[in-house]
Amino acid sequence: MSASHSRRQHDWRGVVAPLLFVALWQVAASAGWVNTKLIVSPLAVLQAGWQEITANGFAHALAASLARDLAGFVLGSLAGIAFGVLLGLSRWADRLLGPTFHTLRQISLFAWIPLISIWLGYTDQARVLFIAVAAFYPVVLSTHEGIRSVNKAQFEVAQVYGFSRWQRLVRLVLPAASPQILTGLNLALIYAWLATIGAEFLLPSFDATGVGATVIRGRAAFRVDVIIVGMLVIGLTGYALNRLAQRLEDRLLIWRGPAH
Amino acid sequence: MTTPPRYLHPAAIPPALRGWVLPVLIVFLWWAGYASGRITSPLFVSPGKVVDSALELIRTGTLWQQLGASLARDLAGFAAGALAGLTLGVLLGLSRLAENIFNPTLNAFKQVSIFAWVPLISLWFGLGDLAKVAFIGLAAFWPAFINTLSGVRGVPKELVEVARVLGFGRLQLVRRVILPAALPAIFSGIYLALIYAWLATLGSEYLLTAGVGIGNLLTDGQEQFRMDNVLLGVILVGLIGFGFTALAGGLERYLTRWQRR
Repeated sequence: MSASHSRRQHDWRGVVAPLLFVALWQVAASAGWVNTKLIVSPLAVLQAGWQEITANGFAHALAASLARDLAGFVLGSLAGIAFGVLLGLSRWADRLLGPTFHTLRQISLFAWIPLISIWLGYTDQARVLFIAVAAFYPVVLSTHEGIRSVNKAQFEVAQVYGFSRWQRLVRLVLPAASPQILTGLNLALIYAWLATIGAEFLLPSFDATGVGATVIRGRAAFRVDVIIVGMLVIGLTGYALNRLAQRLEDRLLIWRGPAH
Repeated sequence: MTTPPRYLHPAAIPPALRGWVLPVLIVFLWWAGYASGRITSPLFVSPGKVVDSALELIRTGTLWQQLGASLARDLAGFAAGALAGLTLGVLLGLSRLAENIFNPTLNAFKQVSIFAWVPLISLWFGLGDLAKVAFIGLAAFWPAFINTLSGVRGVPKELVEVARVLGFGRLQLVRRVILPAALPAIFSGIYLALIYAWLATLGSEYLLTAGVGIGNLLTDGQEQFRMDNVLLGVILVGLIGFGFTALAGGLERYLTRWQRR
């Protein structure tokens, strides 16, 4: 919404289109040009949003989604870093596991849903596993790439200094690969949020709480206003997570000095 | 290729076969687990059973029907979404004014996760093919749009100036200078769009459940506890995704081969 805080200079013309859009939307809905069952007015959306927050425990649902998101993200990215390090450091592992990994990667994420739901049922564990799988792939790829790009000379220096395997990993490989790893983590965070909503849609259960579950309830009750409230919150949360990750990345990579 | 670190010796297996070691091992273990009779879970089926059910589905023609329906949907959504993304990307890339006016709105829409559209799409378009194609189109739109925009924006100023000096018209400028220069970026967008579209095809068949498709093979198999059909579906989905990636990569290399000259 407020891209005006970015480094780019603020351009008021960017605000015109959304405002016009919302105004047109409101007029179209209140003048009855459109089927108000399918397209509700912005005011109705605001009202529904207020009601969801005050009466229906929307904050609770959002917290449940975020907790799931975070659990899956942490699990998936830790596994991803470990696997990426393995592929990056061991030629053997890369040769033996790499092709299988790249083939599995082609399998659409959704293909995992039936397998996951048969193995784990429609539970929170199943949802977290799905999110973790989504976060896993980008982290593996970027970690692998980051390690591959570590300067060979640095390995030689480490050898001269008699670094142990562990020292080499912690002191040399991980710091040197950290820019790429962080890029992968950033991507994983976006994927994880996408998968969080996807998991709530694809692995639903009647007692589940979450933003996605709220949207599904809105769909079942034919409440377009609730659906749009959910979509707005999902979008804003994704945006906030993204900004947060960017900030954190900039912070953590401050030792590299100003970019370019 | 980098040489391996000293502490690891390359395997004695010929390089071309190394990638097959793990899959073969997995299938063997899978078969061995079945043949030993130790694993009795109904969720565990033998590799042979999967092949049998594949043959059965091929014989009855169900498989082709489902595959065809999914692919047709995929291509329709991909074509619609990628074309829209390409057009809008070129438009916003060429006109500062258009970019300033529409980009913030598009950026806001981009933030909304693709799944969040599903309930709205299903209310507006139902659960049929139209809704599915709309969902797939939306998924294919974003990468095509974003990459085209950045590609067109990234065309070197000098090239455009030379074209101006040579007295190119607007259309000529776009066709002869901007599009060729932006082609690599556009292609990576199309490439991503193709992959996203396939992902979305499956997603749409799960979420907008009506009709036939590979996704329905999976969901039906799951409901009927037919592990063989589920596994067959997973394998097929992977193979098709693999095929699309290979196809898009080949096409990209072919169409941008002039760049490497």
